[in-house]
Amino acid sequence: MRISTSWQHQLGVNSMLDQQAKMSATQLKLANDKKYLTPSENPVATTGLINLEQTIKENQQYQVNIGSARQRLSLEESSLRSATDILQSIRELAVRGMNGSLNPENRQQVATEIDELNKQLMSVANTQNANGEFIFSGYKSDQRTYTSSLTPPDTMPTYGYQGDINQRSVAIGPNRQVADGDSGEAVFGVVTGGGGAAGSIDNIFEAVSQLASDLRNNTPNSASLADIDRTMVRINTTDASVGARLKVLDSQENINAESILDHQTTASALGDLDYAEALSKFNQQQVALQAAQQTFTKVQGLSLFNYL
Amino acid sequence: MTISILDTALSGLTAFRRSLETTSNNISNVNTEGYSRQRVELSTRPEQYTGAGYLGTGVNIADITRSYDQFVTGQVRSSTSAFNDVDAYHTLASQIDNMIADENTGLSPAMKSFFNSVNDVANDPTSIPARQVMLTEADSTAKRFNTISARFDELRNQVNANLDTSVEALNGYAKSVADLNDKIVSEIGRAAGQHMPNDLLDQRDVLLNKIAEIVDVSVVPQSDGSVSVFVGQGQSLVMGKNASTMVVKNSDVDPTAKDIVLSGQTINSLLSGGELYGNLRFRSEVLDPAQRQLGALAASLALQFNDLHKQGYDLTGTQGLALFNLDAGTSIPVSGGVNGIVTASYRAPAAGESLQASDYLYDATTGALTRLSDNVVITDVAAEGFDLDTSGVVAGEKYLIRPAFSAAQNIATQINNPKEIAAAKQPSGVPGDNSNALALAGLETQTVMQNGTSTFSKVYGQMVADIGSKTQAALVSSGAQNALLKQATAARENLAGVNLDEEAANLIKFQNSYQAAAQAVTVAKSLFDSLIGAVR
Repeated sequence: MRISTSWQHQLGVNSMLDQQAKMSATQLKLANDKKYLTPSENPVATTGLINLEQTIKENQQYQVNIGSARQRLSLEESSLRSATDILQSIRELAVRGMNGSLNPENRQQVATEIDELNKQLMSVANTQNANGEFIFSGYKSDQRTYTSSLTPPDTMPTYGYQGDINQRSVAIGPNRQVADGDSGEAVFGVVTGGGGAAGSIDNIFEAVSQLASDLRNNTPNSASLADIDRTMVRINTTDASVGARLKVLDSQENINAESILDHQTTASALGDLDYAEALSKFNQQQVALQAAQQTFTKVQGLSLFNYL
Repeated sequence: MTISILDTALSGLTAFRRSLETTSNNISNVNTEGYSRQRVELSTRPEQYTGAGYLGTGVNIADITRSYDQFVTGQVRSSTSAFNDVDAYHTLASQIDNMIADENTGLSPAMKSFFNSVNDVANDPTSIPARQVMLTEADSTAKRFNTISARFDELRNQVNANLDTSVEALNGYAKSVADLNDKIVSEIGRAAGQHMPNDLLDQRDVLLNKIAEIVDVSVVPQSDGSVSVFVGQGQSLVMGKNASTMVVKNSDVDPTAKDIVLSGQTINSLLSGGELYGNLRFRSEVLDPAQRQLGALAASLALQFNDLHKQGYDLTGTQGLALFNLDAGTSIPVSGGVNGIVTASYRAPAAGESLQASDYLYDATTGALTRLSDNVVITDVAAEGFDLDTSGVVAGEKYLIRPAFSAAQNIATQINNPKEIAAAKQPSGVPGDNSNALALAGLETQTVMQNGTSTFSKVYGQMVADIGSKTQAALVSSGAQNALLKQATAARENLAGVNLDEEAANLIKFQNSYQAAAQAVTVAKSLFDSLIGAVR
């Protein structure tokens, strides 16, 4: 069996080149902390990683959406709490005003206080969020929720509702949406433009305005309390609903976070480099390259011509 | 008597001098590519009858032969073709492979950012900055499609350039082989068929190997010493001293592709090895399908998004315009008609209709529309996602309709004003209405592609896996073919290669023989001197 000189040389060179290429690939993997540098190394794993990455990012976006919904609902919750407090004060004043021992002058004072509280209540109904949107206007969030205008010779202001009845939804999970607000009418009642009798007025501002007017005329109607109570119930119900929604956000956030963690763990197991294994492989390849280089030099030095 | 000693010794001197010259030739050519080591064949001269028996009269140089085995050389040639085929394919495929899954150049991150921005608009529909970000992201996604498509185009140009260069080189080699055939035949004629022109034969083998790198060949030796070279399935490249020329020309039906033509016949589908085949195979198996898949993704994304967007209303209460320029009614590129014309346009997305990642061929003679990815004849064009108008055809022509091929290259955004994003479902300018934006964001997770079975992200993942597995197969194949090529080359080298140690030993051997023969001349001289001295 014979071997030609040039082929022997070529074999030595080839093995050095092979070892260098292998070492270089391992080096890149170590530097990038990736098990697979290109999809062709493991197409199935790469597709798996792409899908996992997609799911993780989708869930992360849901977390962002949840954050934004939570901000809005928290603002609404605190607005509703303020509204409840104001309404409580109005109710107490109303009860005092209906007390038979009061004289007309006192009733005037109570009416004035109630008017002021009514204006405060309306400003709560017109709460705006950080973007300048009116939170109780439904979809028409650029419109001031409630307006009031007093044109003489009227004694009671005319109220207008400029929002609509829609609730905006936010996607918080796959196939899960949550309403991030409530419309003014659902909380504060439908505006009819005045002319109802106390006890059957739906809108709280109109009802309170009617109450104040009655007090000023020294003819308080206890049916106004029913109006106030009705709105109180509405506000409490909405508050409970907002609380429930905030809880839903919390629990969905946890679900999403777990899902993210799960997928990240799987992705890491699939695509991250096992440093121990890679480093030991690198050492092996280093030794192999050194061996190839040294043997190459030794073999090239052997020739019969050296001895002629 | 002494004369015969002299004569015999002289024959020895000549023979050994030739042997030394041949050995020196071998040593000088140790690094020459394709050189087969030569050796001097010696034979005895005819014997002379003497009363005491037959007396030998010296040595003759019978021939100078090269170590050559037709089978081994043929083996190297076919291994070379097979290896160059897979190697070219793998080199080109790995370029796409590296690009599409990378975080910075891949499509997945861009699409994800885009849908995230749509979600942000759904969370905050009155915010102009959020809308502006969505427009920027849409633009960036469209540009990413353009970039990847442009890279595919670059590779296509590279393939075409490779074809041009290879065919040019091939023609040069074929011409050289033909010239060598001519020379070899005349040299054999000069030697009356007794001796072979070894170096010319070696050179021809080297050229044949170079041709084998480019395209697979079968070589048939002729009785006059020339070889005939056949390409593909029997197309003649070289016959005696005539060489045919291979030409690269533009394909009739597809303006971006090039065909290989030999003696008037297109031989693309007849090749089976070599760089040319590897390049052609890459184009038809990896590059074109990838471009179509990418295009189908771009077109579907644009059409679905536009469809929803146009159903919504923007901040000013106007009905939504198309965000992307590929919309229902946009015309699809059609090529191949010289006198007649066929027009096609995209349809709005509908149930049961789905854009496929394929080209379509309309044959005006038979009136049949064939889907080229699986060669199925299509009867319901609308189910393929586009409309076709064949009223302007001319019989005898074929038209190539490509709904998916250039979509990724052409996709772009058309809306610049953030207020024109249609986030609302209600008309009359209701800014807090985000219901359309929610629907648009939900498009990301809906299975709207491939007849209702895959999301956009899944389709992209499939494309990546497809290219990845083809590249992997090519790598494995390349490794195997390389090993086979090395084995064949080793066999040839072991047979025909020069070993310097062996030549050094031969030098010593022939030198000693020469010295011994020279010594015999000295002895003959001294015998003659003794004879003359005795007579004086």
